[in-house]
Amino acid sequence: MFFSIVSFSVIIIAIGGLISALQVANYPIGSTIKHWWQEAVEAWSAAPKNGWLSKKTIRNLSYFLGLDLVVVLALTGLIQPWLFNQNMSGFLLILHMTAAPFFAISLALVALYWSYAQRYSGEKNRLIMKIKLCFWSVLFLGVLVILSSALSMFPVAGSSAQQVLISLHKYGALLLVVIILMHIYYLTLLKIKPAKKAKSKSIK
Amino acid sequence: MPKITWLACWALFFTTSIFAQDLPKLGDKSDGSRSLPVHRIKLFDENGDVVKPYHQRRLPFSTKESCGGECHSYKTIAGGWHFESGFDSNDQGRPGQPWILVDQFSATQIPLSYRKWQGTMHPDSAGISPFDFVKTFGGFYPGGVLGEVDSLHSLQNLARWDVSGQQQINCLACHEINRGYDSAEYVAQIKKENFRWAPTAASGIGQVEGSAAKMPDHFDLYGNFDAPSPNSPVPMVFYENSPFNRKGEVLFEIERKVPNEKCYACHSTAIVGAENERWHADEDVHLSAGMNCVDCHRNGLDHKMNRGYADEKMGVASLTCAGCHLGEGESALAGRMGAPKPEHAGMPLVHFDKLSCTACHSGPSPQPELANIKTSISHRLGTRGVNKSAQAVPHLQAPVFLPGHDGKIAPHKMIWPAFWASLNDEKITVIQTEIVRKIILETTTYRDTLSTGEWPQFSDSLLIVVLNKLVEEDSTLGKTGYFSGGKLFTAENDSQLVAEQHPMAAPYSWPLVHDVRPAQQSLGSNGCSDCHSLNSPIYFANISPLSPVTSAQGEKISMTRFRGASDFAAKFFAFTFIFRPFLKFLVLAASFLIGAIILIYLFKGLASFTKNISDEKTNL
Repeated sequence: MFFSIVSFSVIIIAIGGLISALQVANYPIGSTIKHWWQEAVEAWSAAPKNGWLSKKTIRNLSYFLGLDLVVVLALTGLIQPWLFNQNMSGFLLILHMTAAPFFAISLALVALYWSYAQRYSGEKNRLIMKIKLCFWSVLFLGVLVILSSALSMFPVAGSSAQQVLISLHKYGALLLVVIILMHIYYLTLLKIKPAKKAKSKSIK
Repeated sequence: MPKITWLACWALFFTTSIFAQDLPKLGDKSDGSRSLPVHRIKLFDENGDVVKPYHQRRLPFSTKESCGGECHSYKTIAGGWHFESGFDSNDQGRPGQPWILVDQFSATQIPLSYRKWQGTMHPDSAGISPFDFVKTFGGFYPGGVLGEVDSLHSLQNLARWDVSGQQQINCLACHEINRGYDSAEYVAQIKKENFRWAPTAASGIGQVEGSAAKMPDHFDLYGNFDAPSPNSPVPMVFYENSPFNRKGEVLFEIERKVPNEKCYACHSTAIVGAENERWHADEDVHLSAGMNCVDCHRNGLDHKMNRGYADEKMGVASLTCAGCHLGEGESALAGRMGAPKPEHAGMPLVHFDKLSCTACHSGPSPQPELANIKTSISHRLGTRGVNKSAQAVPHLQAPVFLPGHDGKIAPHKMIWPAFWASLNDEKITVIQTEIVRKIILETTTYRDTLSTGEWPQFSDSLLIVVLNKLVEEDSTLGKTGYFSGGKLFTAENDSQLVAEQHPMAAPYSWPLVHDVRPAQQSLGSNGCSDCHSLNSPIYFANISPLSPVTSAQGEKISMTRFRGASDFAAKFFAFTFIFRPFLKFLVLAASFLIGAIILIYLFKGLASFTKNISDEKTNL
């Protein structure tokens, strides 16, 4: 029950905060979503060169694939606690467990292809610093979330340890979603130009 | 009214109030000593007279008077679960083992209970009066409420109750540990309707001759009554002289901590089959470790024994599986009697939400086909002349993995009810087995050919014949039907057999808790595939509705479908476990890679940071 309330509150506040922050910064939601959607479509539809995907394509694909899988994992993980106040089970659990390895792979690809660009190089730009901080936080929390789940399936953790692992998994994943939303916000600020402010009509 | 009269009235009321209270008796409360009190006592008959072996009127001793007279509060004890049978308490408990009305040739097996367990039939509905009930099942019922409370007894049997006497609580059935106590003799005496004589005969203190069943209704226990025939002597006790000392006292070997073998007299379960001889099997792991049944199933004077499941109303939290082994539950004390705490390493916690402890730890190891089982009470195990055939009715199956009363999946024992009934205006009335048996034996040769104790096989045509003959013999029956294997069979137009699912034919199941297997033999000890594989019995064992109707035989239902879940989902979930080891490796490899990258750039970042904060022009 506690996790249901906390997770519901956090997710609602995070999404609401993202939307209002974008609007305050003059990024209309519709056009922002449209922009990222086009980026995702471009990444997915990038043609292989000589039968192989280009580095850039893999880089973009891994990012968007990871993002899609986070949505799937969050939904499958939260529907039952939210709607029925019970732990995951049945088809949703199967779907969650099936999507999880692909998320791990996409996150590994993100780490491989993006980490060099996200390295600390003493830059002064605060926005870029925030994006890099989000990136490394996502990787760190991603490993935490993946390992806490994977280790519970090996005969190393007893019931008490499993309780800790499950808590780490649940709250780590919640924090991961929040950081990803922050990452999206900062990337939007960096990549997309804000809409021009409408000129106020002067009253003569 | 003068003041003195008021005072006298109050004094009288006060005095009677005190004496009316059920004061604790000599043996009701322990003084703290752990030693065993000696039970060298005088015996009393049901009138409260001392029993002496040389008395002419040889009445059996009464447990109510001998044990309950001065030492133990009989009334309080009579409220115990074993005795009150559902009459004296609102706590019906979770569904448990029913009494099973069995008749071989009429292929009848009906789960009965006075407790309101869904799926059992009240004995009254099956035409079983309390007298019939005691006569049929009393050998495994240790007496008490049903056998001795007059208000429960129907008028039609009052004369018979006078002849046979009350079935008082048989304290000796559990507490007398003398090896001379013969529980089979107790069963035999009850069968002869010698209810008042049964404890005396079983104890071996006296030998009982005669049978109350052969005495007429006007039999007078206290007068001079001639035997109806030389072969039917009047019921009488012949006491041995040796148990009595000079004071007329008898030494009973009474044990408060009842030995397991006493419990087994009524609570044995046997797996049927050539490979399941008793010596093949092990005991419950708790008993192998030196414990007794009553170490967990404890009770106070009220004999409301701890039944041991988690949410039992009157249970002790420590004396459940999770209470004793894990300390779960309010005021539970873990580790009692040296209970080890299980690690359950690698067992995802969702299992504890979905499964009871017994699902993995109890009963026979699940196999692709259900085992046929026998129990003491249903098959009269341990009695004289018991049918040892593997096919003997009733047919019980185990382990069936079904949601229990708490919604958690647990192994169960199961019976498919089978009985004949009239179906007048949607009212279902059970037809007496004697009537059906007579017709079947007249119509078939089963009496000569069916010696195994198995029920007859009914072809569609034979079933139609019997259904029609029932109506011919008694037209008031109206339409007749046979409930079996989950279905109701009726004869349409007297010539066509129609079968339909019917709730009255639905199987009744009750939890299987013992024997508990050792940890190494529990499900999951060999990994996830014990349950999560494409042919694991807990999901995919076959359940065959048991029926003597040949056209209804052969149907098989998977365990998953039987408990109302989707076979496809279960198969799909099991299928994912084929790739699970590979995916685990993949996930670990990905985690290792990400972790390595984080570390590399963490160190690189540190290097870059130290470079930035240092003065580049400063060289050593």
